[in-house]
Amino acid sequence: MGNEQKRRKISGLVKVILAFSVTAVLLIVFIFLAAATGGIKVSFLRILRGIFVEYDEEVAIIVQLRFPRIFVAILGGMAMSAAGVMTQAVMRSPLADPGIIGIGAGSSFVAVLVTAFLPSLYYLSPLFSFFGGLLAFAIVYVLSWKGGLSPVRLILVGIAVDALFSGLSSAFNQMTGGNFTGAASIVESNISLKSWDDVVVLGIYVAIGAALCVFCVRQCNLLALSDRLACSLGVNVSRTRLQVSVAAVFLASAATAVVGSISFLGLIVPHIARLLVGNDHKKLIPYSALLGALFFLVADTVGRWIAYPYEIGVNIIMSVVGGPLFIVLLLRSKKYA
Amino acid sequence: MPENAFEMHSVSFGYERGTRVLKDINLAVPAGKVTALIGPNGCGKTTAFALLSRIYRPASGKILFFGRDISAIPRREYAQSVAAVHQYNTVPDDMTVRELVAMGRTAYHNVFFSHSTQADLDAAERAMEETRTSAFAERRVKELSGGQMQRVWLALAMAQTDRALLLDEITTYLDVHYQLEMLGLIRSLNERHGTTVLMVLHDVNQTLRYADHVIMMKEGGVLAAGAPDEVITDGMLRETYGVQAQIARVSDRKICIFG
Repeated sequence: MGNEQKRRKISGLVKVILAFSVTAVLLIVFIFLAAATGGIKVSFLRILRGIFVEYDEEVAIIVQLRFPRIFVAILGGMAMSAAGVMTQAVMRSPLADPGIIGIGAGSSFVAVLVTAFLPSLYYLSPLFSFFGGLLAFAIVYVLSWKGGLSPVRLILVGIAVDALFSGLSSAFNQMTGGNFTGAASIVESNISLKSWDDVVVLGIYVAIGAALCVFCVRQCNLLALSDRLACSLGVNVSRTRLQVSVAAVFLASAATAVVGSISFLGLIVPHIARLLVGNDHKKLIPYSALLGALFFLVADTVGRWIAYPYEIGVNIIMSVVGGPLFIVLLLRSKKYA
Repeated sequence: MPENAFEMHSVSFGYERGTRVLKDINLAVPAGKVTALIGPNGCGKTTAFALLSRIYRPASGKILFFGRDISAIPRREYAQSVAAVHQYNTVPDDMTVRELVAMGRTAYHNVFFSHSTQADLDAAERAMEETRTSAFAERRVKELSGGQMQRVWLALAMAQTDRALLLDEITTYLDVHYQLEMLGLIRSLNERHGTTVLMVLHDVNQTLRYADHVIMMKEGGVLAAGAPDEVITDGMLRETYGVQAQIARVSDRKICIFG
């Protein structure tokens, strides 16, 4: 018995370490692949030389155009996936995805308004979109919470709220003839024109979000227990739920403000992560962030490469891949049907 | 006059406006004893239990824990003295027994960071030994049988505190073997640590056998309370449950025969 238990514990640990390292290696590989994909063909070596040894015009273009995009994809993927895990912990439903239930749409609507009317406040746009996200989240939460939370109700209300806010964003975009390119890029979730400024802004907000995540790990684990049990353990369940929600909405809005609304990422990535590293948030949150970065970068790179010289927006790739996967998840699990 | 661990003073409570599940109820749970809370379905047992474990707040009246109003005790501090095992619980499937039992130490930690101290590890280890769950400490919760699972819940509660334990129908879904094992375990914990136990029970015979004190409820109030031998009579059972019953004495123990 003792030996068998020990063996199991070790094999579990090996699985987790393997998951982390393989994903990290793949991420590095894809960073290079993404850097080399596109109109200008240069070798990895030349890129490295161009950055560290001597000036190279083509490499400089790549550094100015492709690298910000890569980092935006990585940071956005991380933030959105971690936000997904935390939303799921709060809603206690593995189907809750900030991109689907309207949080993304709410924050992107506010981000669109800020980008169009107050472009000078660009650095603060994640903060503004945070309030949009909170608003959408509050609406969804209040309308779908009746004593407990019915997953179906959550999805239905979420889709309605999502439709409302994305509709408002599109309406605004069309009303203005799509003249505000910054706003349009958020509406279309297009990350092709991202600059180092975007990387810096997103980086700052993601760093703050990551710090919040550290505090949320334990709280997420407590929320996984039934309310009554958590309550008897001495936890103030409502307050815990509120704190985790704020962190989740913050990360989702930061990503949305820069990248635009992303559906399904916060749903699929945590789901795969749960299968690989389990439900303990100490591993689940960091692994989801890592996997989210890889997933989103791959989606963006595939979108750039598949129909070259045309580009398919990363959000379109996410929808095409995510929609069917979402249905598979729904069908697989009797709990939600 | 022995000290009471819990007291309810004219407590009323309803889940919805205008309805009253508990009506001006007064009850006392003696300290250091095993008390059974019995009564027909819908009599408010589980509601009284939920009020004592602070899931709900009474609409009126007050609840005392060793003489202190519980609404004045911070939640975490209360959890360090009172543990509860509820009827239905959800747990992530892949959690191990050891991880779950360790969560019993939640009330001793800072809200944001969990750093398990040696005291935490010792308490969890001891709780698992006493409830005989150490043998499957690394096993996943979903792989356990009903009887094992209930012992794990008891271990979780014991890791939390050995001062007072609230148990809601902890034997309901177990077969006779595990029911008796469970109740024997609860008795031995009570004897070893002087733990105050309040358990919601359905079985009259188990109450006669394992409880020091019984509180009989009906329609949101207390019908009778006292030593099981005195409280449980054929007349009282007829009044409470509306059934014919006969109390017999077999080898110095009272048993109850229905019908």
